[in-house]
Amino acid sequence: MGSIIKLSPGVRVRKEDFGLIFYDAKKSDICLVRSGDSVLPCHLDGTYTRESLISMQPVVKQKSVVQLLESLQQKGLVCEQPLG
Amino acid sequence: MNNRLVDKTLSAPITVTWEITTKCNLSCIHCLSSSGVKLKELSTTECFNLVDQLAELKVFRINFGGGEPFIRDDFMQLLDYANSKGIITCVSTNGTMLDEKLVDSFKKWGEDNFFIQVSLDGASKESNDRIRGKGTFEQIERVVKLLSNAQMEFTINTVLTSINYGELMDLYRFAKTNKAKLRVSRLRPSGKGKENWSELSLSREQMENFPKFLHAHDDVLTGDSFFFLTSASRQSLGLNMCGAAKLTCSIAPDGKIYPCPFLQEPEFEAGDIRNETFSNIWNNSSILDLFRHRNVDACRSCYRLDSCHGGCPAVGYYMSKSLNEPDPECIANKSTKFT
Repeated sequence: MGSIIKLSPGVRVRKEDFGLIFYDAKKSDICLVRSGDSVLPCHLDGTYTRESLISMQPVVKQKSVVQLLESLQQKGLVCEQPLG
Repeated sequence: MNNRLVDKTLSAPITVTWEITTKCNLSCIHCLSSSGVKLKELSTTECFNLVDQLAELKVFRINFGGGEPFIRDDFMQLLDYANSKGIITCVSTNGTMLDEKLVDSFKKWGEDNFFIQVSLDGASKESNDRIRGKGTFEQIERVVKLLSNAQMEFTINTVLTSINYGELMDLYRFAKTNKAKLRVSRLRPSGKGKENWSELSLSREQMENFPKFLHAHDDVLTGDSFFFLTSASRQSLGLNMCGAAKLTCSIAPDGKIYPCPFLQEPEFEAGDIRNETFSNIWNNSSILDLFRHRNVDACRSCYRLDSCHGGCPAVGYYMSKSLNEPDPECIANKSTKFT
């Protein structure tokens, strides 16, 4: 089944040269992530599952993307929603 | 937040502060903008064009201020437009022009997309009205009830001065009672605040005691205005350094761009939206670049430099006419001079 991964409510994201900037308007919280091009804002629009996001990466990058997604989830910037 | 990443120029600001007008129906004695100064303000079409540019650059949020923003006839239209373009909006208002109908109309944008801050500068009629003018306490009290009853999430914004310092607890309680958050901002010696600085600024003792209040009330917001006082948990919010020219910049009513709203002086004009694009100004202005690489010599050996980056350039500048001076109200640097 898996689950889709998407931005948490009220969180915005944008691409920068170094990776991503997240902005949580309610908390005025900013998070800059050195993620390069591995994860793009469009990957967090609710159309990708965690598995598809990881599998689309080159094998050498998959571990770092897993860690990145976990870290973003811990920070409350992205959330998972079960499919179906 | 990783400050080293911010040191590189971002593709666009995270937020912009847009002083949409200098016109105001009040005459607060600490106002940053010397409200009432006549400028050729941007037209509705010019404002819409600027919003288009900000949306294209993915600026997350516009903080509208003034003057009193709601004094502009087209202000609701502008809020509508910015929200339709996906930009979060926040309005700082003196509240006097808000009524039930207007408050109700804010709800259409959703609570994650629209924020409102109402200014209140004392928990008593005496202190607030001394700063904001006669009769304003009652007007603000009315608006606060209105927002509270409408179940709007909102913030009460207080500029901390020697006049209201002793009422901080009461202000906090007032906000809590009305289901609002209290935001305490720092007084800056710009606009009318410059004229009344000696009367309104805090003593060193007050500034040193203020962190105890913040520590005891973690839900009080400070923005970036007290970055040299913030506790470790506040620093992690990314508000531990001056964001001027790095994370944010200021748009004046006439379309001129400055590093921050407190530095709207001709020598800090980064560009004019009537003559060039916002993107061009953000990426190529030598003024903005100067702020991105500002170093304060006197702070180099300070243990807090990595956190505060020398404090508020605006306060330093107005007190010394130099950008290379430490924040004169810094409590870590004992050599700084309080007034």
